[in-house]
Amino acid sequence: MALYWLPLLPLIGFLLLIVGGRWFSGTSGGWLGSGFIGAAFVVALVRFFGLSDVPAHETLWTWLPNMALGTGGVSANLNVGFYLDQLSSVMTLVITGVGFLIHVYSISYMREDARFTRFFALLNFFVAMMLILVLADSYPLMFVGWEGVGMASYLLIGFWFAGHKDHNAADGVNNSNAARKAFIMNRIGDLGFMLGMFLIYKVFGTLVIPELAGQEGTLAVTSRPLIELICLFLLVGAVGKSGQLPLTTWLPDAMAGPTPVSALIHAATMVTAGVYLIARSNFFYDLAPGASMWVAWAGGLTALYGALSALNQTDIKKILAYSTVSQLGYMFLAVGLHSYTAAIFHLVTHAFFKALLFLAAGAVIHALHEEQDVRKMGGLAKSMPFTHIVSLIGVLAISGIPIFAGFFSKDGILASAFAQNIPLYLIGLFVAFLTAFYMGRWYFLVWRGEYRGDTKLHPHDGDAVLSAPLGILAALATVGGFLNVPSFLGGGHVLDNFLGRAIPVHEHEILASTEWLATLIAVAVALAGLGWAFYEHRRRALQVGPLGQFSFQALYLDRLYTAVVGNGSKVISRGLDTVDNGVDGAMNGIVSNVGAPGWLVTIWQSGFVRAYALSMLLGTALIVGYWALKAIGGGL
Amino acid sequence: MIHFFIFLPVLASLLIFLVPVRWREEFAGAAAGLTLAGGLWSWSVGGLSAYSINWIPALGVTYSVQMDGVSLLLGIVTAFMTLIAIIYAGKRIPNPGTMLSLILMMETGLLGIYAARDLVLFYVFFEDALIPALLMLAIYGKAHRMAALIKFAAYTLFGSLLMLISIIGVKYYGGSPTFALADLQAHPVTGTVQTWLFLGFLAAMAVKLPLFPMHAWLPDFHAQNHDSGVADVMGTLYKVGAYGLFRFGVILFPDAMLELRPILMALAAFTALYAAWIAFSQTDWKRLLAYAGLSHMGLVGLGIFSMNETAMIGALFLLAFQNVYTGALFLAAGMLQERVGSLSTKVGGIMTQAGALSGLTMTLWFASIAVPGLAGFIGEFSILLGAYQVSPWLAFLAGLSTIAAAAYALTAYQTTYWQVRPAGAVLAHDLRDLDWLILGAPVAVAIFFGIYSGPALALVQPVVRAWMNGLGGGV
Repeated sequence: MALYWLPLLPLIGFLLLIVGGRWFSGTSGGWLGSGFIGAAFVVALVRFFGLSDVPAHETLWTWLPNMALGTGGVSANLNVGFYLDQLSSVMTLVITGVGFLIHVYSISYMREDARFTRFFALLNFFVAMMLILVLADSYPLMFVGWEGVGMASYLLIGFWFAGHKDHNAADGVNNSNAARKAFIMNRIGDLGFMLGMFLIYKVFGTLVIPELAGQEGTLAVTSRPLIELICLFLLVGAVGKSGQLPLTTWLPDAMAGPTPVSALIHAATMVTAGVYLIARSNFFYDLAPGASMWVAWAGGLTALYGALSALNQTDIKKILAYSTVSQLGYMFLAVGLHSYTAAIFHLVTHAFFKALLFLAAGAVIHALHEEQDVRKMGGLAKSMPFTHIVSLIGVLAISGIPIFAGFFSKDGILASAFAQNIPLYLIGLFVAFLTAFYMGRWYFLVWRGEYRGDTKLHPHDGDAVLSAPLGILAALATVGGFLNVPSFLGGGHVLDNFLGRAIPVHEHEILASTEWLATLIAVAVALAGLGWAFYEHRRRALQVGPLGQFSFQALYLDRLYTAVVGNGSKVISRGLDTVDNGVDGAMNGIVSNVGAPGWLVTIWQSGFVRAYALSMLLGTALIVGYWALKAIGGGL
Repeated sequence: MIHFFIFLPVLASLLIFLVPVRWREEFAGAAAGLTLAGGLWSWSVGGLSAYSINWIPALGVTYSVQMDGVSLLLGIVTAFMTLIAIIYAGKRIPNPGTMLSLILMMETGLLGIYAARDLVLFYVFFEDALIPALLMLAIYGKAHRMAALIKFAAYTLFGSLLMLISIIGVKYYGGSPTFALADLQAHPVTGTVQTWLFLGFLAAMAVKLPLFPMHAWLPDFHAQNHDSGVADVMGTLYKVGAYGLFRFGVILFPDAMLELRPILMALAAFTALYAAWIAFSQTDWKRLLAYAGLSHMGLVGLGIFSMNETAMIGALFLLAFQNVYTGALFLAAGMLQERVGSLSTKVGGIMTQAGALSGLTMTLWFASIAVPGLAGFIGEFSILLGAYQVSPWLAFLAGLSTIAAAAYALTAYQTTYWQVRPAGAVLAHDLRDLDWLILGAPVAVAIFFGIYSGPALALVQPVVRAWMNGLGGGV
């Protein structure tokens, strides 16, 4: 199967569903959309098992002028081409695999929605764009997927653009604003990505990634500040897409979209694109220690920011959203420390357990008729036993409790931080503690204690279509960690070795005893966090989390941006509009003065612009007439 | 063939008054369709070679025309959008004979501009296209059309006069026997004189590009034209300044363009950002589109002025395809006005009632704000990439307009098509019969050439290479 089938299959699904939306009755559109993603997953599997040490590189047609290496000093045109190595193969499996599960889940979740088929069209579109992103052989093509997923994200956050059942004005404005904010903030990052590409082109004369990675000689002699600058530009792009500081505030707002969208786009796949970009550009970052440090610190601080903001949220999805911000911070921390494989490992396990948590949250929201406030939940373990169990697995996985997936992947990141940068390690450890606490708070508020909500409701587990994906994801969140068991625990670093054929693995010299100690500390910290949550739960003091408004307002960052940047640009815009009318007036003034020979003054008094136009016409006619006369004269 | 391509529309514009009133729409549509077919045929045979005879020998004026790749691409786009505009005009405007005639007359002027290889001929076509544009505004415009008309005419004629002087100067100082481009190229003007002559030429092109501060006619021109947006399509096609600079400026005034490059690039980059920012606070779709178009034209100017091959390819690509989606957006605004009687950006909730109209409009907007995979991106990206090679800071400044573009487009889109339809508002019906073609065809073009850009690139790239090599290739 050629690589283009991977994005093409979901794209066909998108076209069918968007054009022929009215022909698909009931849930048939949903099954069709899921089927295309399932087919893409099969292709991804086939290609995964067909991988060799030589990456597959398939080019299609000419696309952009002059942006690839040519022969004889003339640059060649850039082709659309797909590139599959171990890194992109893992990504395609996650995208199509988790994507398929979330599609199936949505069939049940979105059943009542008036725009059911359109929802699946957009989900298919998203998957197609995400696959283009990870399969692209050049930065501009990656940028197609990059902005494509941004567009899909915009459309899906704003899916309920007119509010609940198209009739809730306040909801409609909120959802639409959230969608727009996501797109615009992503665009800020995208400009950084573009500048990065421009500079890469200036230095290397090509934007094709294998060509760039193959230029080891040129790379080694290129001046360091240039490489650092390239890496910083790319970081701006990555920060925008992955919701890292300082471009993070759109991601919590993005929860305005339907819950499957939050699970697929704003947790499992799209927001990890920044991590993928940096891992893909490892040949630059390995030569740029300064920029890499920026990446690591952006990640570390965002991890802390997200965790602090999650402490006192009240919306069941917002807690998970800030948690995503925080976990993405871990991944950035890892790629910044050149532990690319650790970051990708965490990306994979995070896709499992965060998708699981979001979908479980969706099941709760569904069961409680759109209630999202955790203060109005509680005690649901009795009425929704299945969803409770899978949620518990998710919480244990994200908190880093042994044998669950998050334990292994988070441990890998903390170990590499421990070996390289102690302050970042301490931040990581502290965040692990906070993570365990806020996830514990989430768990106890939703599932334990007494039910505090509307007593008229009778919550129950979802149907089989809703539950099956939850079960599979719960299984993956449980055993996913065994993909990459470190050697001191008797494992063989399977994923590291696999990815190591495509991206560099930097071994860290840590004694096995030290590693044991670090692991025990990490587990102790996680248990302490959960224990603190349990203690507060027993005191019935969980409804108000720590840090009060400071946490609830997400450290006031969003307010700051709205006040300074949002209002600022509005004021400037209005100012410029006024100025533009001024320019108009000024030009009229200049016009009237420049051409002011005396004999026209009387006419100008009656409206100079019109007279001016007239004089121009007359002047032109005079010149043409003079020529005509001269021509006739010459002809005689 | 080439004369057929250029003059068929004007012939039809005269004959249309002999046709019975009830058949006029079909007649105009057939003429525009035939012209487009002629363009497509020319493309299939690889362009139309040069043709030249003396026109006014005493003055050295020749009739020299040619359709090479760049001319052909712009010509085909012009023919395509003219056809779309005619279809919508026939559907929307009651008794549209005069309008159809003016559109066809203008088409010949535009095609002539692209075909002309003689400076005086270029000037003639340049002015020729102006008259129907003025008449459309005068006959079909809104309440304050006279002010807009006078402003438009004053700017254009002011620029044209300076251009005429510099055209004469180029021949006089270079000592060329004729005004044909080939002859002028063989007798170049050098030194300070070239710079002054270029400034004269630039004046006309800056008005038609348009470039800050010569743009003030544009928002009023669009806001005062007929609600349907048909005249605005033609007005958008009439932004030929960048083409003129490419075709004549680069060849005749290379030293001056290099000398003034930093200033001109700065002006263009500023135009792009300035216009995008102003567009953000517009509440009338047509004014918003006028500023959006101005912003794109700033980028096109940036590409041409940077004298970088990639940027110049991008500029011509963007010039061609922004005609498609900006034009179609004017028509979409016209359809909005047709349904709700307003061009305001605060209408709200259209998508809940007219899904297809809203969806196609959104796709056009995404093309317009250069989302990759659509035609706008290839042009903008190439321009910014090329400009970055010359001046990183100016490319950055112009690049900021991509953020501003997302802000103005999505904000206005949201308050018109998203959110809740106010209670008691009229019911906006969805697309009907020909509406599908009028919006669907441009959308299809924007998607097709955004993904499979090779054919369009093959038209533009060789010509730009040859043009740049004409400079000695050292730039």
